[in-house]
Amino acid sequence: MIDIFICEDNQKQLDLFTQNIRDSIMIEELDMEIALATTNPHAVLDRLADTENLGLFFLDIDLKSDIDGLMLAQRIRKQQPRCFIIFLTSHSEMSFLTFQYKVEALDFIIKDTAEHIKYKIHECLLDVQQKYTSLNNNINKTFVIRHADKYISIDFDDILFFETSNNIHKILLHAHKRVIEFNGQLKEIEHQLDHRFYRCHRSYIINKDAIAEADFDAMNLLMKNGETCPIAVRHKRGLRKLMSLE
Amino acid sequence: MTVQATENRIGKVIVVTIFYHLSIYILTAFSYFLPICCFLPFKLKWKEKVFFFFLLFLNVFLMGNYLGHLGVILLIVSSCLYISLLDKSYLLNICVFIAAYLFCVVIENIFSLLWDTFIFPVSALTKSYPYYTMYIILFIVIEALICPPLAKLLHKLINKFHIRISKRYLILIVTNLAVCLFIFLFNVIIGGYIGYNRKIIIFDCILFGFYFLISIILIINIVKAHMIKLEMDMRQESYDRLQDYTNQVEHMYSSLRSFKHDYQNIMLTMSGYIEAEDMEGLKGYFEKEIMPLNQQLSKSSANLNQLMNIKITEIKSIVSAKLLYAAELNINISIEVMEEISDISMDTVDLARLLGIFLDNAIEAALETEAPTIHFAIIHSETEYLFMVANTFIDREIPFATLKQPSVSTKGGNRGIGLYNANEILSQYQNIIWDTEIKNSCFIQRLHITK
Repeated sequence: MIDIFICEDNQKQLDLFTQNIRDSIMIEELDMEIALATTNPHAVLDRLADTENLGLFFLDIDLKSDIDGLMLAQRIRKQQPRCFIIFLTSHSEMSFLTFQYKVEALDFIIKDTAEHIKYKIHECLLDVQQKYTSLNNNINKTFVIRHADKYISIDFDDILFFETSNNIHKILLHAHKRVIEFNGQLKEIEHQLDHRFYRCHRSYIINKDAIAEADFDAMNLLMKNGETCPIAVRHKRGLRKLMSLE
Repeated sequence: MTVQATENRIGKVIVVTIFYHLSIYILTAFSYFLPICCFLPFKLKWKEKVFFFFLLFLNVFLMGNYLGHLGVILLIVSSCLYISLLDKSYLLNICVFIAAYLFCVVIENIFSLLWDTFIFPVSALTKSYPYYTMYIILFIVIEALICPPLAKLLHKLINKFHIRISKRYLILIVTNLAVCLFIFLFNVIIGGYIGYNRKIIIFDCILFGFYFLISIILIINIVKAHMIKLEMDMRQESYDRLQDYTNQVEHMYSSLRSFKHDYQNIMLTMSGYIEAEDMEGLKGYFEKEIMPLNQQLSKSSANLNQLMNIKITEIKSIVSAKLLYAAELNINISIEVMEEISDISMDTVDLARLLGIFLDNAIEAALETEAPTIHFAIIHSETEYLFMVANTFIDREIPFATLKQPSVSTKGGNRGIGLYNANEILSQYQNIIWDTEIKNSCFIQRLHITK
């Protein structure tokens, strides 16, 4: 069950959103309930304190109160780290990237035409429902790059391989459609990984599930994204063993 | 019996002599090998090291047996060739190699002078194997002590200046070093004919020390002057760019003023409709005249004004210039700089160059798409700054890692120096995470810079 909270300072718009959300829940028979629809951001925080369900928040950015939507979202995020936050906004206030970064906003609903809003709300609810079920079904293991107090996390499934960079003390993480260069050492990284990863070379750790082809004559691995990794002679047997276990 | 014993002894002597010779050749080769390996700006692979050592050994052997001092020329030429084959920035590598060689020579001269004064006459050295081996081993030990810290310093300097020094200056430096080398070779070969003695060594040493010193000072000064000029150019450029930005802001302001003026008229017209209670007319007027005006206004002004939060002139100028250019090319741009951005723990010139590279790439890639869009954001949190450039692009499925190599690019053909340069710049910083991602058909570059 997901509790839905709506906070919007304009009563008319609040009613409109509430109605749209209620309709969508009815049509799709979603496992959600509107817990609160209010113009007062503090009421959201109060109500949040005594709920145990995961929350879905629709927040206006300009709340005409002592806190704005972003601050409210940050406080909510602190209380419920895994909740879903969606912002309601007009064009001029749009700063999606910043909000996504700061409070991991899921989406934005732009206040333009009533039809578009309705459509977008419907989409968002379905998206949340899908994310909610997958969240409960499998909790993926992730690799976390810590950086001051921020962190970047990548699913193990998504990682192809790690490689020492030409730049001193730096590691390149190759994922599907993503490359991250960060400070670190392969030795330390090895401890954070699980059985599917293997150090096949002094400067490479590969994900065995991401190997497309292994060429033991040329001593290299073709990964699923077309890149190649070398195999060191002394790790050849270990790698063979690992791959035959599949 | 006695004949056999003498034969045995002769055999032993021969074996021992060969062993001595061999060990001396190996040690001599190593005394060249060590500083060169230290000083070279890239790391040699294991196989390359072995081959290079063998090359040096061969040269030393030839020098000892057949060629004499003329062999030095062969040594230098062959090593230069091999090194320039290994890595792409060959001018720099040759430059470093010659410098390393000269460094060896100077050190050896000083060392032999000291040795000559305090331990054993150098002129008699080749005749006494134990002393000769000791001499070389001690020399290698001294090299091993001096070279690594010096090499570290040199690499730092190279990292700092290499990207900014033009090819012309590099050629100049190489020529200078080559001339220096030539004089030295001349000296050695002539010296070889005359025969070394202490006076010549002292003379060599002083001559060389001075020439080396003077050329180094000269080169440093030239590079310095060049850097200053570059900086001036950069300033000028950023000033020019800011001028564009100012013009744009002024233009925005004047369009706002004209809107204000229009506003009066709009109110008047609307009140006319309302007084006449012509709802149909009012509706038509609203949709036809006011809605488009509203859109126009939000489109042009909502974005650019956020740049005012960037308080670093170099960054502001490059970002505004590139984004204005993008806007001129009808690319949709969105800018998010919600908080003030002032001091960043990174050289602003480097950062400006990085952002320039990212934005240039973004513009070029976005233009190929049907609805070109570029998002630019600087986000400020308690511990870091995040710079983000995202653009629409056409995915040609080029493996990511290769993008950072020179002349590989999604644009195809003879280009792609941009990201290679970005990599070079970023290699100097330990406090940055560089994150490149493709998501929802957007190409996203992120730089997390710790405060």
